Amino acid sequence: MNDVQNFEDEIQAMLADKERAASPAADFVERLQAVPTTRKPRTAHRVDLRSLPRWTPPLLVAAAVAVVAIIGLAITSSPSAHERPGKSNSPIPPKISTPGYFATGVQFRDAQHGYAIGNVPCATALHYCATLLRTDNGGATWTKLSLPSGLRPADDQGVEGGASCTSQGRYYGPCVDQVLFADADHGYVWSNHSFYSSNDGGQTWHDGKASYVRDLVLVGNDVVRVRELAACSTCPSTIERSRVGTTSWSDVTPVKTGIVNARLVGAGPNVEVDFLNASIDDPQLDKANWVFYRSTDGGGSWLKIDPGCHGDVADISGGFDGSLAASCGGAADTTVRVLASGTAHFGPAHPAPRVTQGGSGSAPANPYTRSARIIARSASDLLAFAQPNTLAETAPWTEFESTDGGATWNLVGGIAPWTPIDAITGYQLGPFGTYFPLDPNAFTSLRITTDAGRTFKTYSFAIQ
Amino acid sequence: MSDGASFASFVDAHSRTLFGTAYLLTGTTPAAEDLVQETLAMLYPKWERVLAAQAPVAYVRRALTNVYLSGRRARGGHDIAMWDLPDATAAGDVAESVVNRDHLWQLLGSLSERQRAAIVLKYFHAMADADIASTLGCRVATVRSLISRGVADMREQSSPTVNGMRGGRS
Repeated sequence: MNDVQNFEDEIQAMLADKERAASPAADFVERLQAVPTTRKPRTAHRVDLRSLPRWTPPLLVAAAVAVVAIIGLAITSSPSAHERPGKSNSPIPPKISTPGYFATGVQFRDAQHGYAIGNVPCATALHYCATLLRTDNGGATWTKLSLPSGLRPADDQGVEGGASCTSQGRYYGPCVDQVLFADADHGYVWSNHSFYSSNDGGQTWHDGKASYVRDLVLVGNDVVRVRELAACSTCPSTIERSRVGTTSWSDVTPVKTGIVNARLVGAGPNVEVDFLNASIDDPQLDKANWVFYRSTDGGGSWLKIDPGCHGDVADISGGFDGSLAASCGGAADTTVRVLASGTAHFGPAHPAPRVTQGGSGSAPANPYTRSARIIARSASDLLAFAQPNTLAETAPWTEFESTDGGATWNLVGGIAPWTPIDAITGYQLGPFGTYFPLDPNAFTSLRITTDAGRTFKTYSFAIQ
Repeated sequence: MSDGASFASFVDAHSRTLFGTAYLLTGTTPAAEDLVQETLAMLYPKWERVLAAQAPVAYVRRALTNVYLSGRRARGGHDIAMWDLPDATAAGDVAESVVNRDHLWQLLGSLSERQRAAIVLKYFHAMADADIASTLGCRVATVRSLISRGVADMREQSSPTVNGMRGGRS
């Protein structure tokens, strides 16, 4: 494993060396300065969502509750990009010097009760303080909860890339950037650096002394997490389970050897995991395939499942009714398939929704649609997100809804550009869905929709 | 400040770092210069959007990465060979060492564009996986896969004996 880490260190050093050694031609800046003489500013291109293809006439469906958090903060004062102070043991100063909150993780237990973990500007040497918030009114107002003392702010603000809670971050040290509460009392905050649990609603915290926790989901009365054994891109993963309210964890990894880059998918009554079925020392790792396992008993036993995609699986999601939806992302297979609850095989493949608008300036749109997220609320009720593969970065993700298991799709609306699609996290609250696009670059507020993305209401993180 | 003035100021401040990223992606100075110029020419007509971003240089870098990936795809088979790839003899000469950075540089050039972009963004810019996923338009698991497979590929080619990996490609 150390060899892997050393190799990655060598790659890092090599890149730094090569970048330092390279230099552009003497007239490079001059040529760039001439760009405005040939390209005049114009009004920013906006995609007219109404012009997007409609796959079927719109259907009126029961209102779904969804909360979309698009979070960011116009940070006006920040430490230098290379500031890495030493470890601090001082308690977190609660004073907020300026309004504003930057969240790195958001979770709602239901439409009213939610939690956010992130930073507020404060009058300390680091300029920011790690802060955990709770709302009991759907995001309208927030109150502060305690966090373990000595935590550094998460550094995931998108400035120069960000590197939250890693040794490459600006505030390297103990920090947390994710939150999950099973109920009002039992909660978890974690990052790849630290892991804490609380049994009193966030008043006190227990240090779980675990690092490199990638994912954590609630499955009935248990929580299941993915933990990697070291900090490297190819280090093996373990799947662990704990009863909510306890601090002990048991290994429930479905494959005892050869599990790399595991990720928990789905958040219904079952738990699904995908991973590369290979060993870090496997010479065929670069050719390893993603495999999927499902457990219906919280990790006690596992069943390998195969969506049958021709090529990669772009996404897979578990519905509240125990169903499973898969989005195939191969070049020749962009279909959606559903495995209904109580069945062993996926149903027929249906075309995934596609969008072809886009393009910017002289760059035409490419009709190829990027692989998208899919969220199953049930075997019939699906959400899918697609993005035209334009040459620029400004094309919005577009949300589609299906009420017939993916056979037909209805345009819902557009998720704002700059939304990391992987941050749209599916939550199964009965027949309702919740999802959170997080955007550290462009948004400064919490946006809430109660009609599955058709309309939005904007809230700030109003801290009481 | 006018768009033209702010553009000029941005170029003065950030052209070197953007060139560095472009160089790591493309492998040659001319290709890197072209990539930066092409990206800025594409963005200038909507420069107010760049200025509105919290971190304009990160916005431009993101666009640059997309232009790199999309541009190469659009040009298809007309790409020129940007990297001086290692041959079998060269690989053998460095079999005893993975610290040969020139060889690692060549191996980086042998990866797919998306693997290379993911590795540059992670190991040079220290970007979080979620940010890389946003830039590349894929999910985080795909980013990890791109990096894992890219690093594994480089390790495999770097030495037939290091870390128990076989040499050569099957």
